[in-house]
Amino acid sequence: MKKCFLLLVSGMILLQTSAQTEDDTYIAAVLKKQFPSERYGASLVTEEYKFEKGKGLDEKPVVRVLGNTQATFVALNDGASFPYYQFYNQFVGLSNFNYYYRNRREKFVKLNIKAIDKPMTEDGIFLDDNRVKYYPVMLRQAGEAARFEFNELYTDSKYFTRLYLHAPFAQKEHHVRLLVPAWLDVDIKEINFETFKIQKQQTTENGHKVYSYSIRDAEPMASEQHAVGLAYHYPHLIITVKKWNDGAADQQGFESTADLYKWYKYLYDKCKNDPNTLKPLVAQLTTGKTSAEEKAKALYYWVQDNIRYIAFEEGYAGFIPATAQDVLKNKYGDCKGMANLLTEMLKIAGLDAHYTWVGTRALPYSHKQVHTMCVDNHAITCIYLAGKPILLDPTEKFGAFGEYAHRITGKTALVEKGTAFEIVEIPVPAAMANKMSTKANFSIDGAHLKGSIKITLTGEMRTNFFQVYSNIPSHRQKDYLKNMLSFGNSNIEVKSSNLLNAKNRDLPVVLEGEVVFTNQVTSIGKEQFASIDYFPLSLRSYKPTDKRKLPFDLDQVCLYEDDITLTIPPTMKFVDVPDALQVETAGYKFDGRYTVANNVINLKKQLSFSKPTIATAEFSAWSKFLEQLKAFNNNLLSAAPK
Amino acid sequence: MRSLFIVLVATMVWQVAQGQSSEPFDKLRANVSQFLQQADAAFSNTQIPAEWQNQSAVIIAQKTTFSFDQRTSFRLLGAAKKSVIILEKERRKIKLLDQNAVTLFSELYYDGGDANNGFDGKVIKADGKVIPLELEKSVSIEGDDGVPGIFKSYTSTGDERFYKVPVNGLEIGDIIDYAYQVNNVAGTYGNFLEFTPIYYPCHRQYSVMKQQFEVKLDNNTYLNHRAVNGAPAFSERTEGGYNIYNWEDGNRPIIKQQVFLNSHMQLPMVKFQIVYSSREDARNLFILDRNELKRDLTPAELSKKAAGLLQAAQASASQAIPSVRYHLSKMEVMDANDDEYIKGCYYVLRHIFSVRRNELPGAVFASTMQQLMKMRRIDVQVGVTASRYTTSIKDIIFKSELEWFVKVKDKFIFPPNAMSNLTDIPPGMQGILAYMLPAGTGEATAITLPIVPYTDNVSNFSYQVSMSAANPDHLVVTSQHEHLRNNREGEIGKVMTYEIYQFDDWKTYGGWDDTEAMRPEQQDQLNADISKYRAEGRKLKPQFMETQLKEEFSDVVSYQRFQLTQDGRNPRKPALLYHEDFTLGDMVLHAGKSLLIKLPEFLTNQLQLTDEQRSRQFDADMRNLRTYNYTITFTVPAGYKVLGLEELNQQKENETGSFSSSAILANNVVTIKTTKVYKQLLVKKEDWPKVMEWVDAAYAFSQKKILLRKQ
Repeated sequence: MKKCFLLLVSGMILLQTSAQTEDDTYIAAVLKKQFPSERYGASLVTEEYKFEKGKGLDEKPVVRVLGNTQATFVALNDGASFPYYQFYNQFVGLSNFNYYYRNRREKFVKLNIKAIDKPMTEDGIFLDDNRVKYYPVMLRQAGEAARFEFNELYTDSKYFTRLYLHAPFAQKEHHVRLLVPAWLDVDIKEINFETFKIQKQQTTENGHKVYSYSIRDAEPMASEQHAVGLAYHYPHLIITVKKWNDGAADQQGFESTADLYKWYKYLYDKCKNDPNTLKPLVAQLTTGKTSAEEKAKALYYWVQDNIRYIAFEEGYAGFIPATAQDVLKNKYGDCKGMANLLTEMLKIAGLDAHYTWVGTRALPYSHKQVHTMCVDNHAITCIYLAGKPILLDPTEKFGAFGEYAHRITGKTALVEKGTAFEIVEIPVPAAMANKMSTKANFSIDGAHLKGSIKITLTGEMRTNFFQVYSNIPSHRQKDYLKNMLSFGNSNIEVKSSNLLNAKNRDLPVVLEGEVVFTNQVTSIGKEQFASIDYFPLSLRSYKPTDKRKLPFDLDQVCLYEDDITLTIPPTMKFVDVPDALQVETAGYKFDGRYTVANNVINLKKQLSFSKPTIATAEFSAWSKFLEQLKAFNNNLLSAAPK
Repeated sequence: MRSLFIVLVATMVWQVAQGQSSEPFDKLRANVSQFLQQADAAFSNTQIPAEWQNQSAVIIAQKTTFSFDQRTSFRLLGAAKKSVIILEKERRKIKLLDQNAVTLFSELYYDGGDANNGFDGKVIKADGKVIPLELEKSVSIEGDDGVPGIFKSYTSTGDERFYKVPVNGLEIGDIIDYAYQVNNVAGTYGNFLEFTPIYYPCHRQYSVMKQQFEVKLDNNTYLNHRAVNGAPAFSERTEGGYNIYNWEDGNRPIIKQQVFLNSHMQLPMVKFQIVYSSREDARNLFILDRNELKRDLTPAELSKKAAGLLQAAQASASQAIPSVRYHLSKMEVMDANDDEYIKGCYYVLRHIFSVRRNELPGAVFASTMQQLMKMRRIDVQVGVTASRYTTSIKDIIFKSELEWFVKVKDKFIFPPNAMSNLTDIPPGMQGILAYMLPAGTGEATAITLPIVPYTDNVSNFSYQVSMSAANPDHLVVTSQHEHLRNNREGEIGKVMTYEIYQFDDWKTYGGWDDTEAMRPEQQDQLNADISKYRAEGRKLKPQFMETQLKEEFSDVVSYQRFQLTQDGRNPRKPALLYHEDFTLGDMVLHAGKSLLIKLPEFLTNQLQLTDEQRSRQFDADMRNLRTYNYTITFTVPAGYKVLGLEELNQQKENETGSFSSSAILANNVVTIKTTKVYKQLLVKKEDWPKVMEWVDAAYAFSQKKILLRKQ
């Protein structure tokens, strides 16, 4: 029981009370008016980046980037508390991270305290080198100000990929300057600038080309459920060092995809695989397999089923795959390790297999457009069968051969081919490739509907089912099957259930059951009312509120297909039959209709999503669509004696 | 600027430099190697019973040992510090039968915070091959968030430094065999120490083939233990000058999920506590004589112990008395009638301790009330019992199991919490045996504590419902919620969130505003701060309550108002009463031109029993007797006729409980009334079908609809 919600702000350091200036108070008032639900905001953020020459991995020439950031905050409310934090790691150093407050003379004075320094490993990663430094801040009164300053050192410009203009907090002004020296050729891509007002300028200062970007009155970056990645929506810069002269010679950066590939290959070649240790297992797994596809499947599925995901990503371990023999011995690895192991095993089996880099859908970039490391965050394998590339993702458990997880569809994959490479486009499947097909036959039994249900899952529907099912404790798996058969409806009692093709991911999975749908028939006098339509409850959380900023990410393209039949006694007839509904847009479609033949009513329904996102401009139509679906679902049928 | 969205939550990991010397890990291994290699038939097993093959994992064997050492460190100033060092070891051998278990055990955790701690393990493959753990790949963890409970020790002192290690070569069908050793130091400044009691249910997260405790103690240390509900007991032997206590148990399958299960009173369990004492100071211990461990304490013995604790609490109580009396005098109840005085004492104690500081320990509360009553020559008796959710009174062996109360003028008064009232009797104390301590040298009196009747534990829900003019598929609702006595306890945590009640608390009982003692500028600052937090609370509260409402209704279209009318903390107004206005979707269905309105669905969260829950292995503990009344009124829209109300009339009743409902139409308003009563506190498993009759009826009712036919 909460004694007092004051406890919510406990644990914050009550620091020296800052004097307030008229300017701070004014800006606080302005920001509060613009962003009424915010408790604090930045009056001014400035970032400046300079470039210098240096040495990197294996003493190779690199460009280093030095950043300096100053951020001044004001409290928009009394008792505004927040942490101000900066991340760093082995490749991006952080120094001189200081906190300033205004003294009585209204000057900013450095506080004599150190930032709290903690590791900050990402979810799902066993170990990485990410750390965070932060100050817990408490500004007692509205208009009180705090300032922070820090320096960053990117030990290699390869890791200096993106700069956002928005932040998790409101900003009155945010200025970014890139001071590019004459010896350096840099490409700066502007992403999502068209939807925001950003001032740009290019000037010259002391022999440097200065690129300046400014944004004013910037709202905080939204954190919303089921949202597309921030890179799809918020303006940012992608900075790529193309080439430079280090005084002795010209050095190549990432001017093209070939340059990026060369760097990846350089790191990949540091992984010393020992194929001999894999040979016995490959021989065992491919015994009796005659075709290349059979061999590929045997090896692919074995890696999926037997290698657990445990990721060590510290330093260059985040870029160089673990050796195939280590991954096999440990029976664990990350995506790089699994892809490396699978690639080697396939090669041993005589297949044309290649290690492959790819960016998931969290990154909206293609290798053809962007030549820097922010384009990739995942590793898979590519094999060629009859000259055709087929991508295999061993991290994606239960993925079938030839099917691709949604998270990489529509992206480009960079395939290793020795000194050459290939960019492979990953196709986006049609909605019907990922299908949940439900067939049910019911009859009325008092207040209940009784009958049988059969659910067939293909594509990613099947994969997702197995990913969840296999991770449930065995003695609870039957409960999960019951849940599937009940469509999340607590009124469905599953009397028996059966799962077919559970071991064969190349076949659709089929779930059958005998069910009783209790409390479903409302009898009033001699009339009976019932519904045989099941609204996909999961869409409820995709209804946009007035305040929503970000597009929805449905995270799939798929098709739901229902064929439901209800048989009533021959002495009865159907009186009310819900009207049909058809809605079709470029991204989603619905077709539902009832047909009656004597004492049998049939509902055929198709709901498909061919585009995985709902843009903000589509919110109005999408909300209307959801209401239409709900109205269709809220229409019951009725029957009465003849 | 890098993107900055990672929320500062758990999963913080300190890094251990990779590739460092293996010396510390050799030490970790060495500290458990003997334990791991001990010959033990249970651990040599690799086969599991056929009936458990389809489970997630099976504990083949588990052994936990405790042994103790003492150390005295002398200090230049002050008394010598005596420390008790507990060496705890545990070995566990588990067969992993599915992916869930393999995932859970892919990372093992251990406490590496002390040089004498140990950890090691291995994977045993189906073909017998052994793969040792690679401790060198350990990574340290900040805090213990995210460390599964199965890896935490029983004797933790909060100083752990946890590490995690990935398990190599693990697959379904493998056995994992690991052991830890921890050294925990507990300091004592006196001559005794009672460690935190351990309650160990025999049924665990996984089925268990064999489990064992072994406690090795010297003559200054002993084991306070009891087996309940059919669990085996500890056996004792002497060996090499030590007392060895041994507990063995096995063949425990997983228990299926049950509603209304009182696990402490029904499931086999062993409880134990390690006690250190030098004999001369044994008087402070709950169990003074080791022979007492071998039998149930008689009422006289228990009350004598309680009396001793009450005596010991006197000093603390005496310290509390002056400020209580000061409040009472400010309230001018020192000379008021007995009832006002008793009430004043209770609420002042609630105010000073439960609201403003920390709740009074039970014995201190009892002693304080005893002294306060004696000052006014009001008859008072102190009583002790044990909560029904902890143990039965005959099985009390720990001081912490004693629950205290006083009886004044036929009222049973329990220690207050911030929300309680004078007449509250916690559900766990109702209907159970208690002992009233004798005044002087008399005998303790056994009594049965009263059960609050279901007519007192009442919740009244009222919903006024109409169709929205803006959208006829929406229902506009004005609701009122009233909760009394035990029913209030279940709701008050939610309702009081974001409420600042601490500073007005004195008003609820006619108390004295102690902020009067502050300087004017302090008062002004306090009032200003309170106003700010109240304003903040007014903004956050509706959002919070809307979130709570969404747990009950599938589509809350909008939430207009929350109003707390009274929190029930005032003895003159003991009901919790609040109002909400909101709009719901998903409550109106169509059938041609007719409408079906899901009015019965306002009986939210009705218990729906699964197939598994329809048969019981154990009696049902219904927690407390209670009544839920619903009144739902619905204005019939113009142009519609109501049908189907007769389907809503029903009555199901038997000695365990009842559900009744009625529906009428008058003046174009449908009024539905329902009453659900829990009549019996403890229901025998054979009578469970009787409970199902009215529970099923209530649930089925909540799924019904009324029909509006277009005229």
